[in-house]
Amino acid sequence: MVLATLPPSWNAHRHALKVLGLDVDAVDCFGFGGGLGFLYHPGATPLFLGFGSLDPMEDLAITAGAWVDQKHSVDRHAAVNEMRDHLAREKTPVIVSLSTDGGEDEEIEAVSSKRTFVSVFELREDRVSYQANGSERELDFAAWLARRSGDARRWAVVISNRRFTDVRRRVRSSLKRSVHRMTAGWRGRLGGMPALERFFAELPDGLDHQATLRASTQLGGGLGRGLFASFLDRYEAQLPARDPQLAAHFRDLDSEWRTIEAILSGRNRPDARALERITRAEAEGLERLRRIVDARETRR
Amino acid sequence: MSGKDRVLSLEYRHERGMNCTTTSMMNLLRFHGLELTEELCLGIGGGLGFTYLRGLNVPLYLVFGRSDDLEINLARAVGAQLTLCSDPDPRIAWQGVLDELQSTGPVLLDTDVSRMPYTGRSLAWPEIGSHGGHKIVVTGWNPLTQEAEVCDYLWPRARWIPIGELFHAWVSESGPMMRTHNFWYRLVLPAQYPELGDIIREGVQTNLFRMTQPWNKFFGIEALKAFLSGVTGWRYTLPPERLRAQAYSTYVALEIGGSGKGAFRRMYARFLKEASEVLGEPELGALSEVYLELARRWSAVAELLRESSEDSERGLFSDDPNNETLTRELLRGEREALDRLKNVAERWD
Repeated sequence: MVLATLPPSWNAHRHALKVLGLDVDAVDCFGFGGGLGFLYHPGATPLFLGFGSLDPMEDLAITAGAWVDQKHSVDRHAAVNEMRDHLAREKTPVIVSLSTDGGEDEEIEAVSSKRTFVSVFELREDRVSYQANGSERELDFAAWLARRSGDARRWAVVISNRRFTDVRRRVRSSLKRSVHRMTAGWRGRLGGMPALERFFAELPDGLDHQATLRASTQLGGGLGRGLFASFLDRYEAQLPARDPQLAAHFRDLDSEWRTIEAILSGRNRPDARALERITRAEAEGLERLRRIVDARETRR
Repeated sequence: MSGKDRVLSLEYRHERGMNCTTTSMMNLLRFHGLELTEELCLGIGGGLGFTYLRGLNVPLYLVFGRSDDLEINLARAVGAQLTLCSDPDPRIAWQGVLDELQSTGPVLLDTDVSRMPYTGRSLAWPEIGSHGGHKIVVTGWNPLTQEAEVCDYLWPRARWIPIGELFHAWVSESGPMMRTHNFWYRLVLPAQYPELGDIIREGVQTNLFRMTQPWNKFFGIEALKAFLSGVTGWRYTLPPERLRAQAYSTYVALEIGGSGKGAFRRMYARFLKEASEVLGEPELGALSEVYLELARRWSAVAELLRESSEDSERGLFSDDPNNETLTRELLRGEREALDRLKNVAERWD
């Protein structure tokens, strides 16, 4: 399944996890990756609306019992040699960033930078084979090297012994983390409910609505609330307490966010009552989630 | 005086400790409003572990009483995000450190322990034990004298050291162990911390998974088994000139080089005692005694290694059959303790 609506790095990590024996889709990426939440960078251009996590793929990997090992090679040449060593020894892909080529990658361009993340599984002297958003590609080595963007010394690998955490543990740990982040937010940057309220307060002041939209639709639209509803449905049996209508609540939230997206796409101003409605619904969803994660085990 | 010339020295309370990572994180988190003992930092950060592998490019073994990434595990458990940063140019990397110092607060760095002024000398740190994972905290900067205010776990107070000396310790590629190349950490904190009970449970459960399901045979229970099964046999596999050096570096790592004695088990025992009180879990209190006994046995192994480092036909490499009994019983004790800890943690889900 091509997850074109998710950030490129998510697909790169998905590929790496799949090689290690864990197949995750968009619903799992979002739920286990701490996607439920809110992050707002006021004044950033383009506007960045984010997930509940500062590093969703690190969250996903660690919650599942794996690890994302961020490598800092001495220079780009050492990075290439070390990546080759890793590929030969571990037979698992390496994750690198590439500048987008303005062509077929354009549709998957990351929101805030002209770069994408890919999962390299073969690094020969003349050619590089990698996976980008579900499709396998090849590049001439020199062309690939030229496209290494950002800090070319940097690369990452997902580490695992191919045994993963118990699903119940994984679900509860990620929900607890999401509830905490949505409640507390981050110091020095806007996250969680405080960020949501500020974003709505500033929305009428002429933000770049197209960028806002792009950020929101990167999660498949609805700021990922529909994905989260599916996550709750999928793992209902692993939750410590029941709230049968909670998934439906997040589906309604998904619709509310899509309404906002539609209004913004028409370059109109969302109705203040609609924003209040979303804010109340987000707060209610958060409170109901908190009751679930704080409940002691009542079901076996 | 312009802003760029202003001396920066944070109001940072430095306390000495037993281990560089737990001491640095304890003091750092206290600065940011979270009071945790060093033992809590160890337990929450996944400090129950083991590492046993060949060093980088050196035919010697790295033996360590815990696994890696304690600082990142601890940060996650308290709801924070700690990210490793670097730059090949120390001046550029240093600017990153200064930016972090000014925007967030004290900055955690990775250094080579054998190159740290005062620390390397005071520990008589063996050359073969040189590694780049030694944690220090930068708490100030004097641009006029080009000196950094640094806190190291063994020092009684912060020290101002010339930036050149810090740059020297900031690179470690010659030692057999972890590499560092101008590594420092960016910290993002939550606006409020989770409940301490939740933090402890998260830390213990993550630790247990990593210990019992390690990434590979070089960590966790697999490494423990390999070491305890194989250490007495080093006398057959290592050349004589390396055998004594290996014995000494292993003794340092297990007992005096920042483990709190007994391969971190003594510290972990105290963590369990605290965790027992916070969580109201008597079994953790009982396990505290178990780990204290394991710590005594590890100290016994370390002492035998120290004897072997002086005479390779004595200590752990002698023909005394008690040596194999000691290592065998230690492995059995570690496994049993882990099983009991798992039983407790499983009740939390």
